[in-house]
Amino acid sequence: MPEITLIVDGEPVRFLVDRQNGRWVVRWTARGARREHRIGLVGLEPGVFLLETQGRSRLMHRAAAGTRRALHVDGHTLEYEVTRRAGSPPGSPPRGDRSPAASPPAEPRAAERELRAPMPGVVTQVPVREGEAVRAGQPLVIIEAMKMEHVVRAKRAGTVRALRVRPGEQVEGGVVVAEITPS
Amino acid sequence: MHTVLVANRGEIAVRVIRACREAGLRTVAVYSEADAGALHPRLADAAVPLGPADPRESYLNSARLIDAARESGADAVHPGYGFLAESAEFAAAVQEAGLVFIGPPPDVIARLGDKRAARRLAAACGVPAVPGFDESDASDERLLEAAGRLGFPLIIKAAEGGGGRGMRLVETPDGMPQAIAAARREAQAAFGTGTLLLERYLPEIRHIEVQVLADGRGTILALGERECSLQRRYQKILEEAPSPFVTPALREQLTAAAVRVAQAAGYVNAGTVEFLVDSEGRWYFLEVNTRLQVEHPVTEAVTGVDLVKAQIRIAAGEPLSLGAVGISGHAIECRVLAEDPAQGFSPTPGPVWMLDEPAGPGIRVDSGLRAGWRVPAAYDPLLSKVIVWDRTRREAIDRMAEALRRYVILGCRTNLVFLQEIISHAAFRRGDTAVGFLDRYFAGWHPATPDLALAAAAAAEVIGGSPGAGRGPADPWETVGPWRLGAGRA
Repeated sequence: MPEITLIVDGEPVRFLVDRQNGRWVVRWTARGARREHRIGLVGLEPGVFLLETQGRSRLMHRAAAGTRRALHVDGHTLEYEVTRRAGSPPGSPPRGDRSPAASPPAEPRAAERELRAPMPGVVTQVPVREGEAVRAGQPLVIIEAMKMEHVVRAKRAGTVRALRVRPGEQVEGGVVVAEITPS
Repeated sequence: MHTVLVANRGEIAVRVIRACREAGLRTVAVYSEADAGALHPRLADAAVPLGPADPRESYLNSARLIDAARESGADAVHPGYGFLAESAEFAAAVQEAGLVFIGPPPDVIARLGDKRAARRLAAACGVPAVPGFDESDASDERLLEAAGRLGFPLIIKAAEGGGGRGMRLVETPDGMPQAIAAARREAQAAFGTGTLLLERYLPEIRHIEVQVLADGRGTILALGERECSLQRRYQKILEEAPSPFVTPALREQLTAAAVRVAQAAGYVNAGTVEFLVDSEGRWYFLEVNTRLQVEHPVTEAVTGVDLVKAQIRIAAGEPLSLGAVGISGHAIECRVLAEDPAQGFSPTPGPVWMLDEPAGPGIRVDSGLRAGWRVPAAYDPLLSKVIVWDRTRREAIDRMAEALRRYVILGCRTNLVFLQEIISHAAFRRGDTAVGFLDRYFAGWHPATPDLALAAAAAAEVIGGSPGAGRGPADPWETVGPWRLGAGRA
């Protein structure tokens, strides 16, 4: 039985995909609850599928780049990543301990020490200096994109260990812009 | 007039090019380095590169734009909205270069662009403005002093700007110094001047505007109102015509006031007079926008008037000959933005991997999108607009819900799911759409991931497994992997 692990919202979710009477039976566990969906799904052309549930059909679109995926169905867009393609031993059950709620959050401390740009943009201001003591919520870096200002703030009190950007600099989303040593 | 340079980008450049073609005019697009792969340069007869992505070096570079017009043999310039559309200096420079500016005369833009002067002009023709402070000496000290007199909450605005940039709602006196600093900074960046004004904050207010067309030969037409109350952070996201709130009597008052203001200002070409209307139907003059509005299509849908072609004809010196313009049916516009509702609506420039836009009876999509393009970070997040028309508001809402449901944009995250939630909300259907709508009904809202999408994602992975590991973003047609027709059938 194929087993698929998708990274959804940064968390791995393991799906068991079974074939019964010409339909796909998909089972997984989310927030401690077991989920099961029976769907009809047919590939029509690259990136386009016909999805059928409860007697109603709709087109589904999917694009892929490397391990990244984006999927559109019924007005909802889902972005996720694939880790591996399965062919795993048959009968292995979906593991409840992999559900988002049960997984340990990814290094909460790192998020407090390393502050990242939430989006790509241009750094307009860096109102602190390296070595400066900052309080929780204090602005560290101001980024502008699409005419919107976004303020990266200290998550907790500490000392500015490093500033990785300067005003006028272009940054990509997700890069570390400042490092804080929590006090 | 034979060739129009469209001094803008994105969906509005596409919209203007389309109108020019219909009017039999040659078009010249301009584009920055970030827009080299955009849709608008592909649709025009000629396309002139402007320079780097930074707007100051491209779409705000007046001298470069005028050179581009000369180089390409254009004899007219359409500014679109935003960028230089409301710059009196740009309009004057265009005229001095011997070109036709498709918009109001520079002195009218200047007079109405100064919000303080506009408020005085409106008051002089019996159109009252919102109580506030709008003197030219708007130092921090004087603003603080005036705020004390006006009381809280109040709104800080850029004196020479629009579109919600440089605008702050201030609830208490303690918030003033920080809000003034932030508004000044934003106003300075967006409009080149940090001058601010204050307005009393009116709760339960609606933002309603009247479209006018004036031919400069004595004819001024008001083409009904647009309801624009649905806003997020002072940015309109959904507009409709007619307003579900406006009665025939109120419509008559607002359109008459708009015509009076346009007349007093010596207005020529298309413009919009904006009003604030409270829950009792009391109304106040807000400002005049001396440009084509983003939301102009809803007026086009209910009146049948092509506003861009009307702008072109007026600029060419033709008299307005539209006859009596009636309002028929109901139109709604939704703004599709590169913003991620799951991440606090932060901007999401990025690639467009796959695109499938809705179409059909009563559905219009004004879009600057193209599959394979990358939405740049340098400009505002408006990607496209979905406009629907139907006989009644209820039917228009149903049509919009379905159009949004099947609008596919993959790669670049958008607010499409948020728009769908708004359009299907019971309060929206009731017409309860005052400015506080989103605060009241959508505070703490977060998009949910439906189980069906997760199940389908997993099954699709089994069907069309796409290894492609390690490959960067590429053409989805290449990387979608093997697929088999009928693979899902028994």
